[in-house]
Amino acid sequence: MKAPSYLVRLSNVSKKYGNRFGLRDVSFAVEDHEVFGLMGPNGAGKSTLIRILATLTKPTNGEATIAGYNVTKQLHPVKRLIGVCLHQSLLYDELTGMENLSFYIRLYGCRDKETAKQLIVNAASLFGIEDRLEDPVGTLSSGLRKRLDIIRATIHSPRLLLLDEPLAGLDLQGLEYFKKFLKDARKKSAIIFSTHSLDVAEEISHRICTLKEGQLAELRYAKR
Amino acid sequence: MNQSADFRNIADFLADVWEILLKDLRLELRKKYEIYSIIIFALLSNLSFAFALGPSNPNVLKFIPAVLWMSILFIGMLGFTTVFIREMDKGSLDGLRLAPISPQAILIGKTLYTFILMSVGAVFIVPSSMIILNYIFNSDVLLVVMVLILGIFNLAIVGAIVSALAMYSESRALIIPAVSLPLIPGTLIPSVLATGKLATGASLEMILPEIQLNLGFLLLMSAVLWVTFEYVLYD
Repeated sequence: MKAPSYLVRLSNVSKKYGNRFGLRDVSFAVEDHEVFGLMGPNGAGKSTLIRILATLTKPTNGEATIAGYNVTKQLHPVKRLIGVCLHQSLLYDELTGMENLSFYIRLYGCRDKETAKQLIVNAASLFGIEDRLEDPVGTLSSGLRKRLDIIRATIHSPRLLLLDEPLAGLDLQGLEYFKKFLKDARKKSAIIFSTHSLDVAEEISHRICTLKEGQLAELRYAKR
Repeated sequence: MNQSADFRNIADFLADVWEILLKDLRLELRKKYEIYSIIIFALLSNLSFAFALGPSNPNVLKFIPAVLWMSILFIGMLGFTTVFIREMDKGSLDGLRLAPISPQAILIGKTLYTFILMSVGAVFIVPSSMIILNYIFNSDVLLVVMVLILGIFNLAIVGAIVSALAMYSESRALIIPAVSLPLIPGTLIPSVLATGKLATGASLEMILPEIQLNLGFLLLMSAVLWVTFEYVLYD
């Protein structure tokens, strides 16, 4: 029997904010190509966990690795492997969608303008926003902005996608685009995403992890 | 093999610097956050000094260096305090922190942006003050440009330090002047002295001590920022 190939490993990861634990002794592993749902009430530690894996927050204790790289010590290789969509949009309101995505894709090493443009247009068509790419991001609705932000996080084909509440702000159409996108994305990437929607988590995840007050309360397979 | 990898790394680094700079300039041109304030400030400060000193005041040459550099410094304060803070407040700083680029590329891109912003201000301030305050530099114009560029670049570096240190703090109003105060005189005083000498026709040899001080300041600040910026950005 083939042993599972773990892409992400967390071992007793804790994060303290002052005297309060944002995350406490959380351990789990995520396989390559797995869709891993994070659930829990507000303040449960979902965003903290995603920020630690994204190299944005340092854990107080414990170790987290992605493809064997330590997320606190080997930032550069980790950042090449991940695509991150946070709760807050990372796009610049004054720039158009095309300018925003071009800027980010070039930081990932795609310097050729035509190749970058083609990648952006293809990705935008997957989310149904190819005709809004020349609009300033500040003029877009929150749902369209969210779709653009997901494209920003995924356009460099990361091996691990970290999505913090990617469904927030998406309308029904956006949700359908997102589900379709996830089906394709998991062929290439593992995905860790947080959500408040149990139905969506059950539908698209392989496993669901529930956090409560910073601790791992439950880890189980999805019911589908 | 290693050499070509090194060149590729350097080329990538410079390309990242260019992307950061271009993005900030594009944002500035799109929104014109600071540029209008800079132009208006340049003209108003020169007019105020012209009225205070009088059109044919024989002491004007004594005041000119201080007038020029205080105006340039205020322009810098308008621009450089926001260079990281704006990204922090809008949340886009996380986008830069997530990108697989050197922190120093972000730093240099931002410093160059501040330098360009302040230089645009200087392009308005210096000629307008020469016209309004009725004086001319009696030295080689290249020396004047060199002193201005060096002084402005040093102020831009100080700006990057101040903005980076203040961005996480809720007490920015206190942190910015507190950090600026001990740093700015290190470049402002040599720049004022050199500009004063240039107004009276000094040669390169005569302003060499001030140039050396400013170059020393540039090296020291660059080294400090280069070594510490990664910790400032990620810790």
